Amino acid sequence: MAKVDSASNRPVRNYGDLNPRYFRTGMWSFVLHRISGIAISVFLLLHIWEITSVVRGGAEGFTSQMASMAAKLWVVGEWLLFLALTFHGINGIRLILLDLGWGVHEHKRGFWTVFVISAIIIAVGSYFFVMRFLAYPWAR
Amino acid sequence: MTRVMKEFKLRVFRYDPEKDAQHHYQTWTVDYREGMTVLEALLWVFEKKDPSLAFRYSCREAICGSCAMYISGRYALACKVQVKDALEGDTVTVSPLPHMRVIKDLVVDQTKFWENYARVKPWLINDDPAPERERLQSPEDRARYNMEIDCILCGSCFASCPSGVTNEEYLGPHALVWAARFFRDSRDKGDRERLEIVANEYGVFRCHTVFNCVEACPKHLNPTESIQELKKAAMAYKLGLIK
Repeated sequence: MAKVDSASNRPVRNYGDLNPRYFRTGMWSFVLHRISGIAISVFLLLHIWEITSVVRGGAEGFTSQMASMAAKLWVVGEWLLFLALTFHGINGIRLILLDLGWGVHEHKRGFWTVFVISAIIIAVGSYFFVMRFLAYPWAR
Repeated sequence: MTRVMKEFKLRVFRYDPEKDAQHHYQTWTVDYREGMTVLEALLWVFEKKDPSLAFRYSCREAICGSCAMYISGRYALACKVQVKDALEGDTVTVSPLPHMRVIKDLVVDQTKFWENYARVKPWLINDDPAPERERLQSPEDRARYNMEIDCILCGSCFASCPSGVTNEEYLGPHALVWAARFFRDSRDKGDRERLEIVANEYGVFRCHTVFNCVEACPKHLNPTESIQELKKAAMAYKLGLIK
């Protein structure tokens, strides 16, 4: 194959280790921490849009905004936010402890501890989301 | 596996800068021998099938650090990993160390790796006049850097670190291990100098404690332990708690 001049300026590198198949626990917590962090930032923007409805439409605007969001789709969104916040918060505590020098020799146990605590909180909390989901209509 | 393995497939990353625009994988069927290492398999191909296959190796006993590669999803020394432990089905996949520029086949450009190593001044800094004989150290003080001196500078941790994927200015686990090695040495007087080098966004603060370096290290070191110790000292230094 002839060497392509424009492409040859781009160095060849092996990115095979970014395949999730080969991720170990630390890589999973790193990636999930970043994804949940971005999700929480997106929520903050949505939250600002939602509460500034009072600026756009006064008390009435705010009330109708809140009413329109009492729908199944938003419950799913809130549940996803709940997943992200739970993992991000608990994993964040692990990261702070690591930076203080704790658990450096037990990193796998640290990951699974975060995983189990998050899973329990998510399992319990999800019950309330299911109840809300069933109680709300699809749209208003 | 009860069946005795006679042969296996060796799938190797190929890239020839003079012919190829992109890399591809080439597979050979290799005769298996009990206890065969991945390096032996590469040498088998080199001798019997394709002498153009490029790879680094030297000591064959996991001490020179030349043959670090990415083998079936693990950062490893080709001379230390046995074929039977690296099989995925009947195939062993060998790629160059990730994220570093490939020069040819399995050989990567290590320039940044060595430059970053040199940046932390990996030598004893002590301007006090040399004593008549050697600078003495108690066995306890000597034991403080037992872990760090086992580093063979193979590059596995540097290639595994996701903080370094997009930014080769990040010192990397290997350089920080060596900074810690001298930081922990009672004879060394360069603490302040080294903290200046590591206490910034291209040093310890870019470590996100992913532990890929710990998983990757073929000598079973814990670079994160070294980095976290430096991180604590760097914080204290930046807050003015240590001079």
